[in-house]
Amino acid sequence: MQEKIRNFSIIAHIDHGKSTLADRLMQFTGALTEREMRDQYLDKMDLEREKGITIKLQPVRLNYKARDGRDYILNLIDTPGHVDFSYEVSRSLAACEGALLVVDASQGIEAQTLANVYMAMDLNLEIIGVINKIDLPGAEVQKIKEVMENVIGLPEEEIIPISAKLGQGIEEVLEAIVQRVPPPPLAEKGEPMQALIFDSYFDSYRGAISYIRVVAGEIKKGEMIKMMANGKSYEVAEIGVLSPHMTPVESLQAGEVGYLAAGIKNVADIKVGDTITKTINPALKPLPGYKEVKPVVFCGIYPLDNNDFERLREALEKLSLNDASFVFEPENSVALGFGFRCGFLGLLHLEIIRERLEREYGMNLLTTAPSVVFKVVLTNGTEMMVQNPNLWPATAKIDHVLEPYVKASIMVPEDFIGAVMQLCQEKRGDFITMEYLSTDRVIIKYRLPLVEILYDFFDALKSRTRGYASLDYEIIGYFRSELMKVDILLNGEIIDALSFIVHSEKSYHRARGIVAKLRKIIPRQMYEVVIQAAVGSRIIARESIKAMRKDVIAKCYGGDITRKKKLLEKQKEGKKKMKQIGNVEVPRDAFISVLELDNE
Amino acid sequence: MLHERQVEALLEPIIKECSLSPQVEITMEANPLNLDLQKIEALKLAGINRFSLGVQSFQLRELELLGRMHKPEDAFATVEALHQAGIRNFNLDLIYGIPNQSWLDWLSNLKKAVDLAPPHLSVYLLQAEPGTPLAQSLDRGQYLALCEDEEERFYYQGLEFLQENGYEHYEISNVCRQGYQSRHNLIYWDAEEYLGLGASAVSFIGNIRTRNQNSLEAYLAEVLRSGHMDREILEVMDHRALVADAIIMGLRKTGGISRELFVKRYGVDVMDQYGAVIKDLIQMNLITTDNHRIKITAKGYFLSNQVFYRFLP
Ligand SMILES: Nc1nc2c(ncn2[C@@H]2O[C@H](COP(=O)(O)OP(=O)(O)OP(=O)(O)O)[C@@H](O)[C@H]2O)c(=O)[nH]1
Ligand SMILES: [Mg+2]
Repeated sequence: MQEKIRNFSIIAHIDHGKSTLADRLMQFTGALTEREMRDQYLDKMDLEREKGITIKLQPVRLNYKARDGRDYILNLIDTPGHVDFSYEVSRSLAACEGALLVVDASQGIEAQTLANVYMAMDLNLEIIGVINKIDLPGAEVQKIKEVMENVIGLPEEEIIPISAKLGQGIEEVLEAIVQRVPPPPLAEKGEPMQALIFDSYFDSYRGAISYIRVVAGEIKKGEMIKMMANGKSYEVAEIGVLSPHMTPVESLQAGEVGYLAAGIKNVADIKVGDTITKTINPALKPLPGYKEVKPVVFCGIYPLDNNDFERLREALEKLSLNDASFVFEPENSVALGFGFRCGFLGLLHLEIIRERLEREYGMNLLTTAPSVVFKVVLTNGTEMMVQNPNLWPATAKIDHVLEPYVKASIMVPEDFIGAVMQLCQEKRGDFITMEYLSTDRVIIKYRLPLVEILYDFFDALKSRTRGYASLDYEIIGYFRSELMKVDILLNGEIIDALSFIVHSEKSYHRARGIVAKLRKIIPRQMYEVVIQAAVGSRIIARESIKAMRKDVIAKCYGGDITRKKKLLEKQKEGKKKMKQIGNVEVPRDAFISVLELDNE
Repeated sequence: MLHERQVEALLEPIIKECSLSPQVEITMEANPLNLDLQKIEALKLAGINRFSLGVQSFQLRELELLGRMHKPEDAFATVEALHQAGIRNFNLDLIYGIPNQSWLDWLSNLKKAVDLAPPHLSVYLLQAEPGTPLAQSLDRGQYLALCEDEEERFYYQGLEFLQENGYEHYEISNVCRQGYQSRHNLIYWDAEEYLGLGASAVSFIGNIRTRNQNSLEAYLAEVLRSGHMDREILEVMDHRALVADAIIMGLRKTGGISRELFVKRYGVDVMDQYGAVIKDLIQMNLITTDNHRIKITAKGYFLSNQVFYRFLP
């Protein structure tokens, strides 16, 4: 059995064509009928389709009759390419023996190409290099082969040129998988069953559904299983494979990938990275599991209607089952009431979670401005980690402050070296190194404050390099910095949800920008609204919004009452997107849109 | 505009078949260009007893900007003809907030209007409806729209001037001499039933608002074929919607709405059903209440949408 199984992930930089290649692999092996086929079939979520990117890993089982005449089972996992979702990649890789590394023939190696392939190498996976999009006029197959050999160490002659779009080279890829990816390790007779949970989600009918990789032994429908993290046991209600539709099977054996449902309603009982074993002849030790990922960006998420707090908690719990990389804990704000402080891997991650909460759970939410976690050392010697600007201690109590830094790797054609360096300098960066990847492409490394790259760095980078630059970063630790808290006041009252932490040199600029932005997005009210920014008790910026003077339908007679009422209804709808804070109505997007400053 | 013969043909059967009250109000809307003494007399004979003139302004620049064909003299002449024909009951429509209009421009329009002694005046804030040539020129920056603050000033100071000259302010945009409230318009503001005849006319009967077929040919064809008007349903209102409608329309009148009347007509006390909303609005100084009536405050007139939307179901 084992020798016929091949488990592999498809990895690449964003948009290099992973999901499209998965389409062709499914098509070639007959997993999908022509009628079922649609582009990027595995991007099932509406959000994925709208944005044209993969957000979640997605396993599929393919049956492939190879040229050697034998039937193979190929378990493929399609992964996202965006840096915010690299946790999905690392979990996928841990369930595989091989990886298809896809490189765009016109873009070449980019930042996440390297980041992802290094992850696969660390796990000792067999790597099959694939150059995709060879149909593009700008394809530079030979040149990219050389770079892949030089930079990643993949022998040039083993790299497969393909066009996922046109379906060229697909069979070569399948053959390479069969021949080069090793089968899963041989199972020993009678060894205790162990299965790794690499993903899960909540289904309102069947409870939690887990995607598992059986590592040892065999699991059957109806057996009693045990979660090794908390010892709770359940009966297996259904196991199956995704081919790509859910197809129940009687058993899954060591080396196989599939799904499992056991009527688990309590989402806390099932944890991604946990090991499942059986109650009879249980394994003694869990599998290594995953390194916990640490969220780097935090923001408050509040229900617009305060009565929805419990519903929001439930939605967060269920969603966290499907995304183990975000965290949340209750908090409250004077301005916004009860909500949650949530941590994410990046801003796209934040945006996606917020969108999913709204769409999949019908929530109406307000998000506060994201912030990183600062380390504050107090005069009495104790250290404090501050996730929420409101918990910033009084200046007199602070000895010094540290902020998280990253090592950023930026890949760009050499013409743009100057532009990239200037940008990094503006963002308080320190140059580390620069290396040539090929004759005309370099990788520039900078040490930068995480805060600086979170907001608009990537957009600025793209626009200053005409779209050619790609960016990867890793957190390298905390370093001392001159930081201060700025409060925003509306009609003299501090709005805690709008406070932010900023580098002292940038405080004026940022405060003025935010105040001006708020003036633009808060509509005129019945009263004048004064917007101020303050450091301690010192006001550093001020704007005001004059009271509304006109809101009238001058003419209203029989013929157009219906139409005029529609205008009023629209107005009423608009109010639902507002949060009443004191006597000021603030659009719910105000809290997050204060970020979009420098883009204007 | 209809020929006087057509008006006669239209009114004759109504006057004959329906026993009209002696106080019946039969208004003809007209542009100043379209009326002269002879025509007015003929229309009067046909049964018209009130005229409403789209004067808008007494300044050539403003009339041109509004895309009106008539000149200031036409308005004077038409009103003179009304007087000669012995029509005492008539209305003038005026518009303020025209681009580049100054307070003195507006005041001079008001003065000229008052000099013509109309028993009724409608003063409307200019509404540049999207898609109209005016809206397009405003978008292009060809004219400078007045700012909110100026519009508000023109409104309140204009009303003040009219009140000083003996006019009673009885609806957001309407004033009149005592006893000359428009009976027709009051039907809308009192949320009473009405029947609209003719292509695209709106009716409100029971709890349903309908609009007749827009095309004149199709409308006529259907009336001739079946004797019925081909109508599109605009709204079917439940009880809550009816009450909301009556409040929103009723509060347009400076006299406001009567609590007793609501209890009698709809079986609800507005104070009970909208207690929280009313409390907020009083606090914002947008409405006032006593034991009998609920009214919009003077401050509330020009902010009345802030009041109305809160009553929507
Ligand atoms: N010309 C050409 N375009 C391709 C090819 N393969 C994929 N594309 C296009 O590249 C874009 C990205 O393809 P995806 O398959 O969504 O890329 P991905 O790597 O899955 O992207 P993420 O999951 O967001 O990282 C789409 O517009 C595809 O149509 C190819 O072989 N040739
Ligand atoms: Mg994809």
